[in-house]
Amino acid sequence: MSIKVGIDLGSTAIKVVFLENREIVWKKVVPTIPGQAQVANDLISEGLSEIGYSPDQLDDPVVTGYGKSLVHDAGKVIDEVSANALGVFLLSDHKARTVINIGGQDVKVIRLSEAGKLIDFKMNDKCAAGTGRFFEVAGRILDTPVDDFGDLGQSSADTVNISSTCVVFAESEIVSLMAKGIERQPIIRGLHESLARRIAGLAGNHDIEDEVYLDGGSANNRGLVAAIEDELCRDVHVLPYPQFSVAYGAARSLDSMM
Amino acid sequence: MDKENKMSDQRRQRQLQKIGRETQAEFESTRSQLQQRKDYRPEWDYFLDLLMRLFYPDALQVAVDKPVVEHLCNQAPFELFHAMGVHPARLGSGSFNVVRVSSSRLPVLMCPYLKATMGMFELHGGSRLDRLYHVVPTTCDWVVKFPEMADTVQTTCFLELPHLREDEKGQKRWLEEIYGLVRFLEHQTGRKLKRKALKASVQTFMHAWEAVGRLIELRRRRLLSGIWFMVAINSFLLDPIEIWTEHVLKLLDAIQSDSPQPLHQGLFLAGSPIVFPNFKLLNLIEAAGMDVCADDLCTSERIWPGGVCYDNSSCHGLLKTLAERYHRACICPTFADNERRFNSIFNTLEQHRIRGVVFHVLKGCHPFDIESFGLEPKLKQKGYKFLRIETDYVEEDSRNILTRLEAFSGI
Repeated sequence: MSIKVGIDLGSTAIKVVFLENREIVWKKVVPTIPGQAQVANDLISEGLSEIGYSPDQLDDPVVTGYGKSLVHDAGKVIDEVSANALGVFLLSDHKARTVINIGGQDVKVIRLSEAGKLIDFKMNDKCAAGTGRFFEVAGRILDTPVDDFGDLGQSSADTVNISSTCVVFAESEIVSLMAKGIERQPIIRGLHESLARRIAGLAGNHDIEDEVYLDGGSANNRGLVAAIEDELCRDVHVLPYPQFSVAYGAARSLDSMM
Repeated sequence: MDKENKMSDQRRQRQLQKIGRETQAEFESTRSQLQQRKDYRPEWDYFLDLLMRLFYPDALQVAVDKPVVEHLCNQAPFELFHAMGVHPARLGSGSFNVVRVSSSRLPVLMCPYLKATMGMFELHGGSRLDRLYHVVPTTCDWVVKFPEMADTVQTTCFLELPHLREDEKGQKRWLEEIYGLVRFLEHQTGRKLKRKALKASVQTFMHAWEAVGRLIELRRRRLLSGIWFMVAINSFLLDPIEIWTEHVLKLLDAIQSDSPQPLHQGLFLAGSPIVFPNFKLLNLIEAAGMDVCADDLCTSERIWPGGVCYDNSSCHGLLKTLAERYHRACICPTFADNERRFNSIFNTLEQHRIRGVVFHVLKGCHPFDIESFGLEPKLKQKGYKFLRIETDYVEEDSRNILTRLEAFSGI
């Protein structure tokens, strides 16, 4: 039985998945550091060791993400938008028609046909507003792990308006809110709403079709999901392991059925 | 105070020298990269040499051996300059480095093409030989304000461009402006416009257009890459037109004798101008596995509206034909009635079975920005794919753009 390997070399995190019979049997995410190709190879070795398979049982990996050109022995290279679209389409049992991916440095809104084909997409320009970077910076200022943002934001009945779209200026805005004695919770809720507005602006509501799925590392943030639902006025679904849907799509891209 | 001013001048001089060296390196590096391409052939060296004149404008002066009239945009008939014994040279720069020369004194969100043009203007300020005057059609706001920023208002002939074309009043006004340009050139050169000279110039440019038409045909058949086409067409008017045309014909013979193989998936490139050495977007399009086989850039296929057909060979008849051609065939988004442009794009897509349009918008280029929003739904409604790329004279967004182009190629 061969194992399919999908590698997503993202700008802030490297994700690797192993698939057996189309199911994820192993996965791991690590922060991106220099030497991405070696990090990916190390992760593969680690995965093999944990699940007890040998290297010759692995198919050649399919690589995607910003760093995809750095892996020279990839079986196939696929662009991350297509991998994302495929991954979410398959993992959602073919229900997804719109995918919103919040990555470390970019945000994408992807539209799929009923057959799961990529039909359109939008992506932010070089500005990091609305990306995972936004939360990282905020987490540092608030001295709060980003993983806690979901619960903290949702626990607040109040919110504050974070008006800056620029990450750097939003940082200043958070500092001045804290100086006024505002608690973390409403600030975090305000951050969620700010990001949701940014995403809604990028998407343009006429370009969104149900069912909408959110993925990327930030998708585990329930507060953010709620804010996006409120902004788009529609349900937003999150798959299990939303950070791995791109790597999954990469691995599945070689399927003969596709 | 004098000492401070002197030190400040010295610093400025050192800064200009440094930027000058880096800009020169940018030009030479881009040229060298092109010469290392697999599809390079020696016939391209002539055109690459000409493109270097965008950095060494004095070389253009020497080559044409006549007064050079610098102009912005493409609405003033080139044939007219030629007939008056002057050489038209388009102002415009694609250098990322040279933007730094003047950027501190210009708005941040200014069109980078003109920021770079201003930078090059300042960089070469000390060596402007016979460039006594400029011609500026009033297209977009940045172009209109450029002479003021460059302190050349006194030597500029403004042509007030009517922004409605499919309108008799606008056409009449434009012809009046062209007559105004004739008077300006006659005054500056001390010569009178002669019917015979104008007719001969029209013929000369007709030959050039025939050659360009053949280049375009090769491109449509995907036998000439978008980058090399841009090299050829960007060099238009960087040499006497007769010599340039000869070299284009030689190049055509050389390419066609090779039986070249068809290239990648073709796409249509629209939007803000692209000029050497700023081939960033073209390189990224190739890296994404596609190639530009048609465009409507004012620095490329629409650099000039093509040959003119006249039925009245009097001076007035020729001027009227030229005025009409240059006005009505221009696709600049500054016009209020630009349906013609949209139709032209649709026709090209349909005739040559091109499936997608990449729309290039330079940050600060509002007319093209607005037009992209109008064009997108019309194209998508007809089943074409569309990608808007907004960028600047920077390299750091290359990765982001490549990701989008790769995804676009897969749609």
